[in-house]
Amino acid sequence: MNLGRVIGTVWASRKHAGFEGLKMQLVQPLTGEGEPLGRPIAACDSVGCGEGELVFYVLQYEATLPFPERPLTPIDAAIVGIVDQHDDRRDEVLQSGRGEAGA
Amino acid sequence: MNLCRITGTIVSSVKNPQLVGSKILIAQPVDLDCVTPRGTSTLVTDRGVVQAGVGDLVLTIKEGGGVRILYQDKTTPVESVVVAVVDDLDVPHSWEALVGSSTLEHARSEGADA
Repeated sequence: MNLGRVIGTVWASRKHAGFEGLKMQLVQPLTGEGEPLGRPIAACDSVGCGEGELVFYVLQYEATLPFPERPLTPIDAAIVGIVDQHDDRRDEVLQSGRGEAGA
Repeated sequence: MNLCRITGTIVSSVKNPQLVGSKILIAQPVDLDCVTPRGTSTLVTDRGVVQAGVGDLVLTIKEGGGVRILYQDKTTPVESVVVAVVDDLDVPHSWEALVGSSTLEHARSEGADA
């Protein structure tokens, strides 16, 4: 799973029939720490998120799983949750791990 | 499977119903010294399989088929999961020579691009 920030919405009037009624969001992929990673992607929304929200999403085959009512729809990215709290202790953890390794 | 260090957690109340009960953790891939970060961190889930927490050294899989076997459930939208908490690694100091330095340099440069 990947962390991302919703930065906008995609509107498409001519699309595969399976996308009918589905919200598509533009997501900027982020690293686990929240740093931007690569280019924005379009992802289908299964949780009702809005612009500016921190979310997590899945890619590839797993992106079709939140939409069982839409079989054979060509989805390769799906937002599956909204982040309430992001507790990142990377520096602390990697620093203390270094201490253990040296001991 | 990838060697990662758990560096943080994500709390989410609005999420896919299939993810209720799964912990969402931030995993930083690390080198064989268990601390040097290698590549970018991502999110992994743990549905009580190994009870991993912040600071733990773990093995993760990034492949949906494996997750579906582990969860015995074909409908959970997850492709990365913690499968083991690592107690110790036994690596000879000369492992780089065993692999061959050119292979290693290639792997490192690929990791930097990813």
